[in-house]
Amino acid sequence: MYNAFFNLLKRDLRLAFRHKSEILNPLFFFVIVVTLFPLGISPEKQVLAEIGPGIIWVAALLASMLSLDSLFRSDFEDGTLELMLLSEYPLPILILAKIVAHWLITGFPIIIFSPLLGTVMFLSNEAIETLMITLLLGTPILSLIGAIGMALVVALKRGGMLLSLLVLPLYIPVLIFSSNAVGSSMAGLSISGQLYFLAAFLIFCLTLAPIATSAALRVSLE
Amino acid sequence: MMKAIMKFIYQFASPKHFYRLSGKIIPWFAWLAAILLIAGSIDGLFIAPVDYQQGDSYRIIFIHVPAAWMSMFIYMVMAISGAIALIWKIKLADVIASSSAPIGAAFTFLALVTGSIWGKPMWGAWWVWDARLTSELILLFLYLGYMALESAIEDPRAAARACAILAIVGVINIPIIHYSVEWWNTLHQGATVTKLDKPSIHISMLIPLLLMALGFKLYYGAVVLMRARNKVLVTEQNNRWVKEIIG
Amino acid sequence: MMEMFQMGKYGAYVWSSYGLALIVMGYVAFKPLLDKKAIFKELSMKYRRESQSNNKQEQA
Repeated sequence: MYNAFFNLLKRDLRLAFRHKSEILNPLFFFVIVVTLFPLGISPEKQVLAEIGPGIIWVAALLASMLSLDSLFRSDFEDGTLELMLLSEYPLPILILAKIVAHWLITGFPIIIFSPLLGTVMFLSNEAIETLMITLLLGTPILSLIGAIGMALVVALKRGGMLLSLLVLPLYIPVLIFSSNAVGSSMAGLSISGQLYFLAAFLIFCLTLAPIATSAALRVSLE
Repeated sequence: MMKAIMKFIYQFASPKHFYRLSGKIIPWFAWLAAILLIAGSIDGLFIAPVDYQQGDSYRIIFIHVPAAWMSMFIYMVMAISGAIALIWKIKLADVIASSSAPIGAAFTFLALVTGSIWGKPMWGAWWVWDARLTSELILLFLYLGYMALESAIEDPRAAARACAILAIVGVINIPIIHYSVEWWNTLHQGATVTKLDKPSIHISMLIPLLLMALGFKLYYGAVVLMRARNKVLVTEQNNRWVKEIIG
Repeated sequence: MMEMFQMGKYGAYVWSSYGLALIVMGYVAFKPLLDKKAIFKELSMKYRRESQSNNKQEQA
């Protein structure tokens, strides 16, 4: 079972490294969206430091959502997904491998680049540190919840818009607690409560989301 | 005992029995709902005493609060009947779930708009990011997502199952969303005090509230059964009993 | 009597809320009645067509 998990993980990562755009595009999107805000609102330090945490998090949320398409789409089209459903291994484990791979491809680069954007938005060093921690805890949640939505719409031709309707409301708790944690650490307040919430929510999603995703995939592929 | 119960459920859940029985139930629900809603409105509008803080504007809660309760209740019904449909393969449960969605969305919309109308004299603005209004707005998004997914999938059976999964995921998330919105609201509240929260409710105000709440429940029961009956007729149109009814 | 309907200075707010509730709930309640009529009409036409084509087949 562990072998199946790691083999699938390796395969997905190898495929992603072959199409580099899959890794780079969400990252570019993330950077561009954040860049738009100083241009649209004001380049003043005070304003940007105030809205920075929220903006970076909203951008991360959208980047993660838009990259969901690569999670199941190609496997759906070439029939790999159908084989996974028929395989002897428990489906939630296989799906978890795919989600982990997807997070490593799309979520992890965002975390690496976030200090840069934090600096651009005039966040303090502590706030940037918190930003990275919240992204580390939060982006896996986005991938896990997003996988459920993606599994529901994978068989539809134009699922993109629908996916955002299904998934964005469920992202709200992550957005609230993460951006608030970054803002609070800017103000020098304690952030352990927010981080505990994110950690608990992550574990919760880690156990239940793969099951819901496999149920949704079975419906979609019928 | 268990067997007898299951047998009864399956028998009731057969489209033909459901159609006959619900036809008998609907008039009762509808008339009781009408009586309760009229009595509750009269009581709420004219008989209940004026609130010393909010004046007569508080009379909107007799619509707003029951509508907000219904919006949550109906989403729960959708998730539970979705689960029943997935586990026991009772088709009728799917019909109930999908018939409920537009009614729930209507109640959510009503709760939002009446909340905002109430907010205008209380806060001086049509919209305030109050915890309850914000949660209600997110709930409306969940309803809209559910209905969008249902209409996007062509095969009705697959649509019903996908929607059931979505409703279950949504219902698990609602308390988490609610909690985080409340928490966020207490942080950002500043000077605005939530006046939508119970103004230490007096018994003479509680009676119309309960009348309206019960009336809304029965109204939902009647409407959801009517909608479900229509769906059953269409899906069972090639069966003998439908032909006999329509003649 | 008029005072009772004016609701202090909040008449417009209160009555628009109740009026909106009446419109929304009325629409939601009457829509299925209209749908039912349409379904009955459509199905009875369909059955008539079917029985006619059956008769023709028997005659042939």
